[in-house]
Order: sequence, then structure tokens, then C-alpha cells
Amino acid sequence: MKESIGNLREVKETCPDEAVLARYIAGAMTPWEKDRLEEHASACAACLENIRAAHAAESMLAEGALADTPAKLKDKAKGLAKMNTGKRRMQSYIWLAATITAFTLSFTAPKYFAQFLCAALILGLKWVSESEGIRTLIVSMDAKHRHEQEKDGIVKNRIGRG
Amino acid sequence: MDPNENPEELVLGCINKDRKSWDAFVERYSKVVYWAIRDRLRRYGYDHSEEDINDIHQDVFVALWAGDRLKQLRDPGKAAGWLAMVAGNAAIEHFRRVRRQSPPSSVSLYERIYKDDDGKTLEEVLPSGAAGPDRQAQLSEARAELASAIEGLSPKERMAAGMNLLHGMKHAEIAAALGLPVNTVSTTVARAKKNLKEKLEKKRLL
Repeated sequence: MKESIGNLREVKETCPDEAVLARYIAGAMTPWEKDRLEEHASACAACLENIRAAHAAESMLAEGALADTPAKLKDKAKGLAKMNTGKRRMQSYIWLAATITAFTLSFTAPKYFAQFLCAALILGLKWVSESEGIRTLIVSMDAKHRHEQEKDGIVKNRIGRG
Repeated sequence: MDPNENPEELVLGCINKDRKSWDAFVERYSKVVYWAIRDRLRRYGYDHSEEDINDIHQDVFVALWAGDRLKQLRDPGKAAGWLAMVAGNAAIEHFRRVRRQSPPSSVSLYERIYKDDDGKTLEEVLPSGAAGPDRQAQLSEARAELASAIEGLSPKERMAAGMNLLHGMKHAEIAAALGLPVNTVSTTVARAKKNLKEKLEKKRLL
């Protein structure tokens, strides 16, 4: 049974992505592409909602009608650029390696067991404190991974349709 | 880079991981992302907190910076519209993934037509003689009839009707979105409503 327009609110795999919808809004499509998109959007509440939101955002930004975001949120978003992921990860690995080495030495050199264990503890704490950006890093990697999966999905769809 | 510089250079700078461009980009477009998240959650009726909005806001910017989503933006001059769509979809995705909630289903377009005109739902305007399973069958028949009636409209007419009746867009806004004259949109919406009502009346469902 064909679903009614009002009940299709979730973006589906067959929905055009935001870049395609943006091209439609900008009037940058060929007549054939435009017809296909309209055929889909006329029965898809999620795509109509996206088109509505895009138009509203463009005009509200142009009119200066959008309220500013709390400074805390903007700072957090700006902070993403300060994250030099490669260097930071390397530093984190160095502290982790030092922790493991000290911990191993505490057993291989029983004479200095307490000293090495203490050093392992301090180095471990340093590793944890250096890893404060780890959550953000994980989220970043996850975002990258998901973006790649989305691209794979689009390619699979195209192959399937072809 | 100065925040007032053109969007093309700003976006290109962000793609090339220039920190100053990124700061200017966040300063300029954060309000769009913030508005789009709130707007989508409110329109879809999600029970949300300020914390949800903050999390989604950060997720969107992580995807733009670390996930390189900005590379998908083909017309930086229209970055606000594209970002509003990305942020709105991210809000739904957040609720689906983190809260395990799908978007609540809405009143269908056809039923909304009646709600708009008479303040009553389709169920309320159906004759009240039948009860129980008969009533459900009557309701299903009315919905199927409405669905087939709207299929007779062109895709553009269906879009115009949907944008107005389901998404509350004004005729002028729809005209701008679909590249049609305002009068055409008004006529199309009125015709769609009239056709659907006639169809129901002909079938004696109303």
C-alpha cells in the first residue's frame, strides 16, 4: 500500500541528500533532474520539510532575524579546530607506552617495585589527563566513519538502481 | 580571514583546515544550525532539552570539521539553506540513534485539509452511524479515496499543497521555493482542496 505524504517524516535511503536538495532550491538542476526530484518530494514529507527549512533559514539569515547562539556553544565548536588530532594522539600514545613500561619494570626489577609502580601511576594519570580530548576525537572519527558509510550507501544504491 | 568575506572563500578555508576561516564560519552560521535544530525538534514534537540541542549542535560542527561534510556543499552562496537541512536531519538522527525515537507520525495531508477548514479531523467529520470495525473500514476507505484523488495532481501541485497544508508555508514562500507565480500557487492549493472534498462527497463518505 502506498503511504500517504503526511506519514513519511523520516529521511529514507531513497531521499536525495542535502546537496541535491540545495541544487534544486538554487535552480541548478536540469529539467529531467528537476522532474524526478519533484516526483519524489511531492510524496515525501521529510524532503518537503527540508526544502521549507532551507528557505526559511536563507531568508531569516538575510533579514538578520536569527537569534545568536550562546557563546559557550560557539566556543566549543570553534575549539574543534584547535585539535591537532595526529600530534595529540601521538602524545597520548607516548604517555601510555611510558605507563606500560614503568608497570612492567616494577615486576622485572623487584628491588624498585614500589618506585616503578608509583611512576606507572603518575604516568598513567598524565596519560588520562592528556586524553581529555579523546571523547571529541572519538566523536570526530565516528563522524568521519559515518560520512564514509553514507557515501558507500549512495554508491551501492546507484549500483543497485543501475 | 574576516567574517564578512565571501562565503566561497570562507568555506574553502574551512575545507583547507584554516583555523581563522573556521572561527569566522562558526561565528556566521552557528545561529543557523542552532535555529534549524530547535525548529525541527519543535515542529516534529520531540520532547527535548537544551542539552539535546547543545549535543546536536556540536555533532553538526564535528561532522563539518572532522567529517569533512563541507566538501558536499556545492554552492557556498547558499550555505545557510544547506546547513539548515543538515542540522534538521542531524536532530532527527540524534533522537533515532541516542534516544531510539523515530519521528512521530503526523496527521496525513488529506486529513489536514479538513482540520484547516472546519477545525475538525477526517474522523470527526465522517458520519457517526458506524461503530467499531465498520467505522475503521469507513475511515480507511476515506483515506484511500483521498490518496487516489491527490495522485491525479501533478508533482508540483502536490508539492504546493503539501507545503501549504502540511508544512504551513505561505503562498509567497511556496512560490519562491517552486519558482511559480503566487497566484498559481493559490489556485493550485484551492483546487487541490476542492478536488479532494468533491471526491469524498461523490463517494458519499462525507
